[in-house]
Amino acid sequence: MTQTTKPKLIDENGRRLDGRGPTDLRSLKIEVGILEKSDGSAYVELGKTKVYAAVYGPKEAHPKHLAIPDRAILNCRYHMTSFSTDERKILGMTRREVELSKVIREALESVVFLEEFPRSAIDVFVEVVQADGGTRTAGLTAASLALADAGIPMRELIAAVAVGKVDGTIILDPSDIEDKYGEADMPVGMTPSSNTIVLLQLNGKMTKDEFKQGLELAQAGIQKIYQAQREAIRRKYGASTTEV
Amino acid sequence: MVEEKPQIVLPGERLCVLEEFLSGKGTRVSADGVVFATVVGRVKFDRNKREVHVEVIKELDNITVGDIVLGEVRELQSKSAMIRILGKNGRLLKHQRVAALLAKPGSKESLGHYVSVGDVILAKVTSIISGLLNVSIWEPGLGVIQAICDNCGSTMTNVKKDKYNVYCPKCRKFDTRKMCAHHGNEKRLYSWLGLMT
Repeated sequence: MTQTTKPKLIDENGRRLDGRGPTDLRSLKIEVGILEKSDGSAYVELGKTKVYAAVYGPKEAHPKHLAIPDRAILNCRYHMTSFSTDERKILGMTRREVELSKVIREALESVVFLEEFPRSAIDVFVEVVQADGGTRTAGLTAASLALADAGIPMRELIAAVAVGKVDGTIILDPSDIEDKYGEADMPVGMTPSSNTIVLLQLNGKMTKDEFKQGLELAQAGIQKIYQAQREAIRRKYGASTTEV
Repeated sequence: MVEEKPQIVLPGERLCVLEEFLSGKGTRVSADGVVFATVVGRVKFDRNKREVHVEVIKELDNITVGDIVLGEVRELQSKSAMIRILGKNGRLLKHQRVAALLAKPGSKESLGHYVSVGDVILAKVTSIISGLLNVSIWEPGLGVIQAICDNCGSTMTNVKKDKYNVYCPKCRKFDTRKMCAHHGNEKRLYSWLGLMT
């Protein structure tokens, strides 16, 4: 049954509905190289949000007229499976999925050295198998790992997380219900070493100070996600990723 | 002396500054002179060349100049042919590519005298210009490894009759090809592709 009244999202002790504090991430699980037939793949699980990403290429661009003579084209498809949400999602690409495919593609284009593969195409598929908020950020995190797993040269990895505002409090990594009843939602994608913002969207209202606080909170969350990305690659390739 | 570090680096990880080592394969230099990794791999410091490399864990199917490739002739014109590259240096490619085969330099004969549509050829990559591959079969050891009859589509066999060097046992057509040393040797073809058990 759909809930119509707004639930209390933060209790007297400052705890959220799932027991987290405002600055806590949901439980995070990252795996790399899980899809055998793809060139690179990754799986990201953030709480109940579960996302797969697969990369194919670089390969020849099809149709031919889309090929660019001095760089590769990056095709990105963000898609939610019909069973990923509470109510069955219709098949095919919705307007939202088309938009998210675009923002993820643009974020990835800023870190991939596309000029190394002229007249080629790199296909990135992001498939959301279970959605509970933060699917675009989990998708971007997974897509960047899958590109690295495919051996495609990149400036840096990307880690992404959303921050939200619920009951006047800035929170990290809002879940679906916090996203629905919250006052604002701000997905942030960053390169963890140089702290370059590659994705920033804001839905709702935040004051200048809240925005600043949210960005700092996102940055802290991104560093945690980056550590998990490093760990995932270390697990897959069996060696330490400590600083050289 | 090449020193290999056991650590795996990730894209964007700082390796050294330009004054210590020059940027090699799998690395780039940032605007402030820091050499960083661009791929997931193992770091190698070449102390003789003063270069740092990152040996990528998953090698891409990159085709470079000088590679010997196996291809199929898809389209044929008098001066050029379109080749679909199936494998390189003894293994199949995951993502096939297209290359151009140009007529023999200085020859007035049509390319149809040397290859035919459907033929499997061994060729050498001679140039890559902004992603466009050019291959050549005009070297000893290169050429048609399996000839296909352009009349009936059967595999042709070696023969020596007048100017002809291939023969179709099904439709009895004689034809000419620029053959490679192992023409008609299926075992050789399969082993080249790594398909022999």
